[in-house]
Amino acid sequence: MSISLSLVSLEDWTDAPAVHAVAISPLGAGALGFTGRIHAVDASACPGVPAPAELEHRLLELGFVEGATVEIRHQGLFRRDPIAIRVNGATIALRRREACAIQVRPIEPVTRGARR
Amino acid sequence: MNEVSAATRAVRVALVGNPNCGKTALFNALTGSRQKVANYPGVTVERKEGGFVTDEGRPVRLLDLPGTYSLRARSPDEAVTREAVLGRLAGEDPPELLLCVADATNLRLGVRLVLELKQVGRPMVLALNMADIARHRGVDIDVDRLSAELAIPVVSSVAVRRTGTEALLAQVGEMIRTLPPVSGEPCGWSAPGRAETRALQREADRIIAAAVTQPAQPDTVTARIDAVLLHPVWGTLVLLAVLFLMFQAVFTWAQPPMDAIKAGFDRLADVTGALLPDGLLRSFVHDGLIGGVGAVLVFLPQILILFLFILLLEDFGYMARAAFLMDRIMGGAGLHGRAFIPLLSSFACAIPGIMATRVIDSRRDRLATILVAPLMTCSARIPVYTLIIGAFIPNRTVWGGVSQQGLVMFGLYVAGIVSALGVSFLLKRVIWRNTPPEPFMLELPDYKLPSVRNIGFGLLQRAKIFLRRAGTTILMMMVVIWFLASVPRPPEGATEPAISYSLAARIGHFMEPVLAPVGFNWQIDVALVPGMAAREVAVASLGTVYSIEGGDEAVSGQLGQTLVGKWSLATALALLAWYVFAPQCASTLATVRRETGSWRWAGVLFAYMLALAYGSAFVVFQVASALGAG
Repeated sequence: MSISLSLVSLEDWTDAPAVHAVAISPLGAGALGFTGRIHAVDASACPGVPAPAELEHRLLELGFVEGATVEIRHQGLFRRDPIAIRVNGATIALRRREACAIQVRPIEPVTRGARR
Repeated sequence: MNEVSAATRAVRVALVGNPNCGKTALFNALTGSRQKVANYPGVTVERKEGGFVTDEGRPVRLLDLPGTYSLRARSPDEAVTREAVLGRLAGEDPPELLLCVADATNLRLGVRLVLELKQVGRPMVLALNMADIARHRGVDIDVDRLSAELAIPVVSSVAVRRTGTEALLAQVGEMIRTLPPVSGEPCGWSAPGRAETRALQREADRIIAAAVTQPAQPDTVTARIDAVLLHPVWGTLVLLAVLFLMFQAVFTWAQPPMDAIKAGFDRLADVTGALLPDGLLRSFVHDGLIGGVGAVLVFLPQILILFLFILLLEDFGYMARAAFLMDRIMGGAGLHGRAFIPLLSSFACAIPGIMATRVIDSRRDRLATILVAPLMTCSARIPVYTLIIGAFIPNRTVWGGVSQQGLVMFGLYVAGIVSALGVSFLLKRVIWRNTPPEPFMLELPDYKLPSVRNIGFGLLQRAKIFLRRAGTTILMMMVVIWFLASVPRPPEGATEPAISYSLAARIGHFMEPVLAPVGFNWQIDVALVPGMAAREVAVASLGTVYSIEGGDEAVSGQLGQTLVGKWSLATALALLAWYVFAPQCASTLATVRRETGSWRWAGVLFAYMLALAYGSAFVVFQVASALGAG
């Protein structure tokens, strides 16, 4: 089994020209129903996260990798927190604070590729 | 080790997979009732092992390991999985074959775990569990392609159907026949870095894209149920309704079987009473063994009903949703969303509740939950509350139809919950305030119909654990207490009840000066001592102390009237306040010691609960006395 350890290549996900027009934002700031694709998983810029490297690793282990499709399906009663995120066919609950480590680009919910 | 021929020696197989992949259901399907639950030495993670026989007749010992997303373990549960897979667990031989389980409806994380496990270098087979649900949803898995890509055998399985594991059994049997001898060399796994985890997930996604065809129309059942159950308002209301139903069930459904158990022990006591001559032996069998163990066994129905609800909700996939809904609410008090399930279990008994905290990754979050779990009103407090409330609180209705006795009972429950929230707030926001809050990350599995078989196995296990505890720890404590209350025997021509001459009475008198400010007399002090074994024993002890003859029913019936004559209302209320907090359960303390690995936290728990108990009983007694209830 050979696995290349290459860094995230931007070409992997920038397939549609329209995508370039929309901004990258943290998933933790997304509204209910937000649909997007993961641009980067990086907790180092997250405010108040104690162990960014560990958080990043745990997010990866739950399937939040670059290129995956995410949708905010549900949110809690108080301060819209936590959120339930659909990521490539699984649903994961996160607090918004930790979801800030996931940088996403919005995509139209109906476009091809919203679901793999 | 005994010399056993290679053909009959049991092969060690370990079951590994993500949480929620149906691993336990598969374990139950493969091993049936041939399983035993114990603890790993030194850690308190439950060790579940079962046996089955391959088609060729080779016996297999199947070890069910806690679910994990990676061998890079974070919680004590996951660490056991890693150590067992790597063969580093003390007293545990390394597995000869890894049986990986993945949820066929959601393969991404399972396949990545398989890729990580392959680095361990042990023979492996992958079971695609819940294959029937995947097929039903239109997920088309090319098993041969998947097997070729992963370079290990892959078999579909349906744990909940009788014939669903035949192919898997055949495959395991075949692999066992050609199993290489276990090498003594250290295995090739090292904790993956983030780049490796990324790469493994990409590889897993590539393999899945090649071998799995997703349906054109995704399944929407879970989404539609979640639209209600995870709705911020409706979801919270449903959760409250579920909890209400659960408590109703625990207190009403459990009553008939509890009465039956009680009647059974009363009859047993009558029989032995008639057979044995009056004296020490009869007192030992009657009061010590039957009375003591019976007082505890009576709670079996309540515990089983509570666990029935917990297992049903767990199997259905609701528990993770409950944690999601409660996370913010409990977070206000510094508790983790995952603490909800352990605290809920603690209403039956703090011991399974404390054991359930193992799902919490962070040590501080786990400790906070362990330290407040005993404040939840466990079922063992109910007999004490019932006795005192029944005797001292007038049975009348207030505010148009609310029973005053029920109101006091409810108030005691609320007092427990509020103080638990207060203590955790103090711990997490004042003492440990520099520790940042632990992330809340939880997979919300797709809903599925609970399997009768799984629930049955789960309940059977809980019953066994409870009965074993009643038969060992509690039995031993009862013997000790009976001894203290019966020895030395009263002198000839004694006028006082026999217990007044016993060691227990001396202990009671010794404690009297300390407990007088909270309104307790020496008889109560004596009853508190056996209450250490199990809270509810205090009721029986009060009965013994006040020298009332007759079975339990007679005891609780007459005892109330006796108490009204002997105690002031202030004393009764102080005892209620005491019981909300008092660390009156040696088994809980022992469990805390085991779970935290040292006596230190058990000591902290004991000290703070004792301080709360004394303080609140003191305030209640003094205030009530000042108001004229003394």
